[in-house]
Amino acid sequence: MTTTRRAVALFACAALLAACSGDRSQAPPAASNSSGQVAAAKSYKVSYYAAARFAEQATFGPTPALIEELRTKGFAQWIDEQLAIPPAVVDVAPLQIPDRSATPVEHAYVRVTFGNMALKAPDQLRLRTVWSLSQFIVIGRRVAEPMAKLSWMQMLLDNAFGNYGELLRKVSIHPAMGNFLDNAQNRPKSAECPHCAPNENYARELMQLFSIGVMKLNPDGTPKRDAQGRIQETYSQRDVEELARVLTGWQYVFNDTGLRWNWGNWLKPMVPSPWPPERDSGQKVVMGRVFPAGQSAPKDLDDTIDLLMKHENIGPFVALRLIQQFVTSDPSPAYVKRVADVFRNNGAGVAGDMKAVLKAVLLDAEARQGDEPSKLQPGFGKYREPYLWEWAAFRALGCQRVFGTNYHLQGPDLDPYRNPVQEFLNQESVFGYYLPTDRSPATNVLAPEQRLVAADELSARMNQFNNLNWNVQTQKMDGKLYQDAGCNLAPLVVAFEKSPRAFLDYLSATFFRGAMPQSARRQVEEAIAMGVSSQTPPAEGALLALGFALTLPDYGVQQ
Amino acid sequence: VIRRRDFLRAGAGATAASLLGGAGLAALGLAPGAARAGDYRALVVLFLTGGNDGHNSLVPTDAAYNDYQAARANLALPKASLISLSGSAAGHTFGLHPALAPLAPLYGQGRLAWIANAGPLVRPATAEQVRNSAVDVPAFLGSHSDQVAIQQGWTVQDDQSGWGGRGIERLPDSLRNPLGAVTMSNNRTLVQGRSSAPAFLDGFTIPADWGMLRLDNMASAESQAIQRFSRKQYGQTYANEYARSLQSSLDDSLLFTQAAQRAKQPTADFGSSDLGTRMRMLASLLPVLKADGYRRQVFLVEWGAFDTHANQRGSASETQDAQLVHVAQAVAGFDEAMRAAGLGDDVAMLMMSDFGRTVRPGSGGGSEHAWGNHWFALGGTVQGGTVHGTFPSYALGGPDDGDPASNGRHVPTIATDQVGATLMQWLGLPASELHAVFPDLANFGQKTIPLMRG
Repeated sequence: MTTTRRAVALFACAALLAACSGDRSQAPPAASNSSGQVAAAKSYKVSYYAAARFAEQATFGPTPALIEELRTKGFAQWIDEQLAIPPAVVDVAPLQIPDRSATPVEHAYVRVTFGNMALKAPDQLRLRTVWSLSQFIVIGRRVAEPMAKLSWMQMLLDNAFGNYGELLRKVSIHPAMGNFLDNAQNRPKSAECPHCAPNENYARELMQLFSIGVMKLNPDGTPKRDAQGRIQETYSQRDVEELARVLTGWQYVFNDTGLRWNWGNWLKPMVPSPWPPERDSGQKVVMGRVFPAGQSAPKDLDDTIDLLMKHENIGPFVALRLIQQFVTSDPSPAYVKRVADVFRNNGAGVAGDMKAVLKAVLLDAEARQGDEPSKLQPGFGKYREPYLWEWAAFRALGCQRVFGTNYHLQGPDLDPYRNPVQEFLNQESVFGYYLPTDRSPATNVLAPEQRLVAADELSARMNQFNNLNWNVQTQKMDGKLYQDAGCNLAPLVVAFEKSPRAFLDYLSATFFRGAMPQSARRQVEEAIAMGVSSQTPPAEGALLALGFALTLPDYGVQQ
Repeated sequence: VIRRRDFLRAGAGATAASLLGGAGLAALGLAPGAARAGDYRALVVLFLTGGNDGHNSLVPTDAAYNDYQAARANLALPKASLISLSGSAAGHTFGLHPALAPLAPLYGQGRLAWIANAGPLVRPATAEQVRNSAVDVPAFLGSHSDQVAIQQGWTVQDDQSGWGGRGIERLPDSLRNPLGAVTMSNNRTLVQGRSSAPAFLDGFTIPADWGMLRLDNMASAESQAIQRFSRKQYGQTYANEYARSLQSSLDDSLLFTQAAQRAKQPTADFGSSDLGTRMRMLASLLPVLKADGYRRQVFLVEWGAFDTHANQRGSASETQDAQLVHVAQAVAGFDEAMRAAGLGDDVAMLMMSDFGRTVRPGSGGGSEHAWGNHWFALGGTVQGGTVHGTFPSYALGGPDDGDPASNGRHVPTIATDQVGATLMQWLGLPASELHAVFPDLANFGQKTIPLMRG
């Protein structure tokens, strides 16, 4: 889009939501990472820097209020309180439309609902966990019915802090997954269906992508090797075929709602078909485990979950993925093992306790070491993926809701001017946006999200904030979208007008944990000096400079 | 209206190339309209994501059709619907899926060849050996992500490079240029080098607008400042990686922007799919790159949702039937545009996919992951109008079925490495470098196949 290249209107201070004086009372000391200087009388448990850093890992991004809460409570107490918040119940009414004439508004409902929650809901850890799970237990854009995705989102919300085995069971019989990976059509060959044969799609990905992976792992996540140093495959093609047989016989609940789009009865888990030919009830053997003949579909599924949960891979498999999602792309084997051990046993003999696992991920010494900047290990960190980059920025700007919900462009989106590289539940395939094993080209650094940070994404980052200043309805740079989204640009613009130093201090406190590196400050200052003229309206200059600053490597990675 | 200062340095001659430092066009002796322009070759790998069902792309129309029809049952294409290919090859006569009709004339003109039953192999293997576990086979057969990577040259190590990227790295210096290995999506194994990253080409728009920076106006102080910042080194691994991503994205986008400014839109019809849009973008740029003196390039174009475990047939948008329409339109449009631009002999395309699919259908009207598959190659120097290799038997449990359960998972009779080596050799890779690019070729007596002329 080239909208930003058009006419420029003076961005009157009055157009901003907050008073021009701004509200800077929450700002930390400029360019400082030490603790307790703002409110010296109050004793905090962690530094401003550490709190902001933790918020980057565990939430959709720091806000002044969240940083204050984390500093006051400390991380462990904050996590306990987060774990105690019951899951939200998402309103399905907007999708209960009589016919399947879903408009762009209905199609956008799931991502707008999730996006709004990620922007401002208090149960940030649950939401961030849902996001993380949705990156490796994937339903993608091929699931076309909005209600199917909404139901899936609710299932993830309900189970994010539950048991991983139970999550896998719910995933396996969720109609959206039954649709996405075809298990709702998994039928054996029979006299009634001579062209049928077990559909291997779900069986394979349940093992490969959701639970144990393709190669045998040591408890610390490193691959097991045989005497010749070769990796060992976890299961054979034969095991896939056998598990496909195990998982035959599930169907959608009959759609008695009269709603044509509800053919998968999306709010109800799949059920066993009552018709015997749809089920292979013979004996199966998967990875050496016998599933006796004559078992019901639910019993076979329970045995499948039991088999997977007892597999030695699943602990390190889940541990690596969650650590990568929240904390760092290439954790030490010891860190993986510590989390995997908790996955195996939460201390009370229970495997798969997500609450215990999440605490282990976030409170591990390796995760927390960099809370003291001088102790940050050189190989620690991860790329900010596009979605998290955007949401963190908009949370920091105080935005209250997804952009463009009042506009009917191509449908509401956080940024109506940007073709998003990454969206919630919109992957092209079950392999998601990236793989946990993806390494950066040429250097082979383990960096899954790197593949999303190409020229399209980087140029979009540079343009992001100034583009949103453009109002397609008035054809003016009037900030209307920011206003409608409830963002508070006043502190940004006021600081920009005041002086480069004030602007950099604002950036440092708001986006850089109160510790924006000197080199980054210099680069932003230089860019402003060169790229913004005295005639540029302050808001536009500030937004251009913000895009520049947040595209710098200092912000592009989370360390 | 002034949004930024005008930093144009009148007549200062600060060209984009000079900003690129040692990697720039000027440093390589390349410049718009350079005298050496002319010797240009590009390989375009069209990778159909998900595992395109080759059995329903190229179909035998002689007596073998009966085996095909019996084994494929409800997936079988009616014989009368197939688009006949002229002549016979590999002991059979053939027809194409009706959606691939635009490719039939190209076959007839000798520009398009099919490659029968190709796929990754560690060493030559028979189906009987595979059924008896008596031969090494590639790792993780059946896994999409792993087979995509292995087809594209991953050697199952931490090094995730592919054969296109490695091949480009090992071309003689005289054939090296910027933008040697390019991906048009976020997937990239094929074009990833051992020590060099592929360029990224957005098929929809080349991002010239980078906030404070415009790549189509690089002769500005602000642009130079941004070039400077993108070259900063960081002590932290991930910050440094990100800086490299930023730097290479700027450098590559600058070169693509320069080419795009002089590109002409082809008149050919590419269809309306995303694939067509990407192929059109590529077709518009290649003539400019050739004219600018670029020598050798490999492009990876991944597209599609061909993992048809169910609903393979029919008119819905993600059936194979529907997607092949887009493939044929985009490919035929691309070929027409290349010929119109005088690049008909300079560009070769290879279509490949994750893996083939089972011969037997599955419940839901689809098929499962298999192994060997039929691909095609297209271009003026392709030995076309024929089917290379040995066409497999469609008998379930027959001589080419490597599946002990007789689902029809064909063991390839042409190795991916043999096809890759043929094409990289066409690009100029010396024979002495073949094993460095394709390590498993050491296990094969025959290194290449007679796919290319001259």
